[in-house]
Amino acid sequence: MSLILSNLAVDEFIHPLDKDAMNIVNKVPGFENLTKFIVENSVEIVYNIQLKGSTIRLTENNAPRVYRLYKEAAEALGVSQLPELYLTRGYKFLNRIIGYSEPMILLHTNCIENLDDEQLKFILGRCLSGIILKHNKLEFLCDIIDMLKVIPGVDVVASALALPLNQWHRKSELSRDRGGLLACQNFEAAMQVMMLMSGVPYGDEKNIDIYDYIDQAVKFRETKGLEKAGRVAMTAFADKSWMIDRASELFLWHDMGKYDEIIMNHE
Amino acid sequence: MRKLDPSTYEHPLDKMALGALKKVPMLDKIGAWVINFMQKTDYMVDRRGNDIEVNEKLAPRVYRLKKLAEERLCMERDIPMYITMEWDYNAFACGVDNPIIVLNSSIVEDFTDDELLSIIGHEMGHIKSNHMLYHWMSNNVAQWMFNCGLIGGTTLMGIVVALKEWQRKSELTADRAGYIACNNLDAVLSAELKLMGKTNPALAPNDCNFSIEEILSQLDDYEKVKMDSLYTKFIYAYITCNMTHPWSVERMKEIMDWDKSVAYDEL
Repeated sequence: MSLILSNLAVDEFIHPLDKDAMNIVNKVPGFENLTKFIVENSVEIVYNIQLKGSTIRLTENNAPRVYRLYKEAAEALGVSQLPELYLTRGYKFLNRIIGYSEPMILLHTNCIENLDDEQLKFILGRCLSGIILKHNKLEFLCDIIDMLKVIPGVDVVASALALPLNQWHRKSELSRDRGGLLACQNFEAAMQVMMLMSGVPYGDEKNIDIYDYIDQAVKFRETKGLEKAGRVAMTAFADKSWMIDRASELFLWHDMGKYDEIIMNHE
Repeated sequence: MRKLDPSTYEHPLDKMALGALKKVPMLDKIGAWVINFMQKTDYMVDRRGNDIEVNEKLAPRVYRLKKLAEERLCMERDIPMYITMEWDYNAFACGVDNPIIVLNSSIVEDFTDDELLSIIGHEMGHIKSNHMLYHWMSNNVAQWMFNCGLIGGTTLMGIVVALKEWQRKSELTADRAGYIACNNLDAVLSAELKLMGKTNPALAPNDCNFSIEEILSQLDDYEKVKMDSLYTKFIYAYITCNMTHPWSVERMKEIMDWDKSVAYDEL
């Protein structure tokens, strides 16, 4: 059982850049109500039908272990209302939050088939912290921009708008990773999931030294010349963080004692 | 069963729509000619070149199940079967005069004998009721639509929607044939669950128990979302109209209802 972090405040673990972006969005008058209205009347209904129609809803009787871990992760983060959890066949590490007023979480079977308890709790905690952080507010905007990108004429404007949003999206993943760690409260397990996501074969992740893995992040940041230009350009257009960056950011956050601080404050 | 007439188990809506389609003059002749031509020049080359043929030596288990399904469904002739290397759970039947069945290797690996029988029986059901000609049209008219531009496209859109509507009903007929072939309702439902996202028992032995009651309660919620208002009904129709198969929960409900019906007992 993990420690219950009651009254966990978002400010305790949110990434500074993620926080700045959310502050800007919150200042735009009517933004929240407008996005809520659009999401509730479009994608939320579509996903609701799709998930209920052709994926499996996990409950206390369907895959009990997963649901128990889900409840534990929610308890640790102080989430009282559990979003519905759905399972679909897939070999990736899909863990997506969908919807606004009634969020849902969709998992790939891979997460259940290949992760142990602590590792799975990290993934589930990651999803739940996305809900605490209200990331669905801006993720929806990313979806809309993606749709606009294919329309000729609008695509240039959309691509320009996508740059700051992409930057937010990359940083938002870092906040969620921290949330995942706070839910599973096992640093090794969190880093093991990162390794698996980077491509370490299942089962090998427990034998790899975390420092050897993080070493790759150092090398990645030290690149020079043309390779560095490529990295900077590709990063600007990417809507996802580099896996190795995510791992090293979580490693640094833990290394700086921020994680221990939160745990100590709530003990 | 000595002689099995498909009309005794065909889904009424499938029978009705197919009857209407068959009345369109020349449609079947042209379609059959094109499919026969395509089968010789394309499908069969691909099958013989890339896949393995199901026979006593190359796939003894599948061959045994194939013979069993042929016997139980009283197939008039031998249906050649192939296994193709794919990760997705899928299988299909194609061809009009000389139909064949193709199974993905993942299904052969992960499904139990009875579950596999229900899949093979499902595909044989399509062959027995002569669905392939119109399946082929339904899958390809959309492509022609794009090629025809706006005016031709709008005209053909009505045909596509009608064809897809029938295609989804034809799957219900095939599900019944699958049930007849394996004669085990639990296996039919479990195969359907696997398509929805049931975890693989070999990889997750503790998390592969899913309860049918929970799925039924999910079905209730699905109906509620779908029928909530005129608007949600419209969204449902919009996302469903291009689907080749009905929503999984609907398929499960249909086969359970049929199991309880008088028609099945008579059979």
